[in-house]
Amino acid sequence: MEFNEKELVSRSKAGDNRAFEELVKRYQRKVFGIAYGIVRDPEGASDVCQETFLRAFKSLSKFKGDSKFYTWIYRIAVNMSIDYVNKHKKDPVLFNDDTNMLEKIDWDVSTSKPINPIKSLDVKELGTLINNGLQKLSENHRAVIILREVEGLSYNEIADVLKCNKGTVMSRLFHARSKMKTMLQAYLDGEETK
Amino acid sequence: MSNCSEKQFRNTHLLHDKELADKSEATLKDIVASEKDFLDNLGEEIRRDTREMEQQISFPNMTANIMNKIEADKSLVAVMLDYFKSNSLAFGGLAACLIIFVLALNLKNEILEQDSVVATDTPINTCIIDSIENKNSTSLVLKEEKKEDPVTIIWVFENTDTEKM
Repeated sequence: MEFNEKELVSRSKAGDNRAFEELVKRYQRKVFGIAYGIVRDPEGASDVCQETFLRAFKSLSKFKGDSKFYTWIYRIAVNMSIDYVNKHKKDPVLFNDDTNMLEKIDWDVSTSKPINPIKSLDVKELGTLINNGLQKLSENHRAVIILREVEGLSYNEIADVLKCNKGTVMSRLFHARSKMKTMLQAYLDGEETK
Repeated sequence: MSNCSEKQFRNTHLLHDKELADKSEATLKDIVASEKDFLDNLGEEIRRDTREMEQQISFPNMTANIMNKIEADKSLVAVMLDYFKSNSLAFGGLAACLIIFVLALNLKNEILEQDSVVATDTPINTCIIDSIENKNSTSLVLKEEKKEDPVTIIWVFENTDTEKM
């Protein structure tokens, strides 16, 4: 028998573990996606994902149902991911060699564009560059870009998850995209000249 | 300008403006298109990367881990509650003993405090009621009388060197 989200939440609150397991199954991929988008490390994201559900289970009594369950759990996931990043900022395993790829490029300070084309580097794959670019963004910028691009949330939904207003979401998204574009400019220019 | 009519001049300029407008509109469209392409690519790349990472994760295992941890937490709490319930008499007795011990300690401190107050603060009247003089020393008989205490204590100091007193 299929229960809707609200029923699953109320059953979980009443101590029905199977109902909570169903919620875990429904949202763990999405929560993992958000955690990975911010943490940029699959193992770390997996830990954050599990901790997010444990925290959610312990705090279920506090969930009043004013917002949707998924925005509530996404909020926990974003906060826990940011905490994880802050705790592991000095961890060389988490932010390892790949981040150095962009540092290998000589940047023109006046134009904020790379002097040497990225094509001269061994790494040409756009995916790697995007990954590196995301690692260069702040956690808040990463969160907003992941919620928008991966989860496809609306500005209002993102505002609800991040507990900020819609204008802030739009501003963060604009800056995050601009920074990404600047970082990927050399690749884009290289593609055009092909 | 003198060689062309006003109409010709206007037509030429209007045409020029239109060309400029068309050109700028085309540029704007290009910019918008390139922005859209960029955003589409960016979104698609991020989604592809996330999907790749998801494939490395065993979600059924993750679900099992989460539920095991929840069960373990629950059972730990249950065990503790059971323990408290089944040992309530023992815990009650222990708590009562602790309370009695603390009360006794407080009472003892209060008594000590009172004693110290009596010993230090109560004024004492002391007077020499007798003295027995020897060759080099004097034996004194002192009488102490506490104000609140009717009991009189008589101290006798024998062979006391009066020079040193």
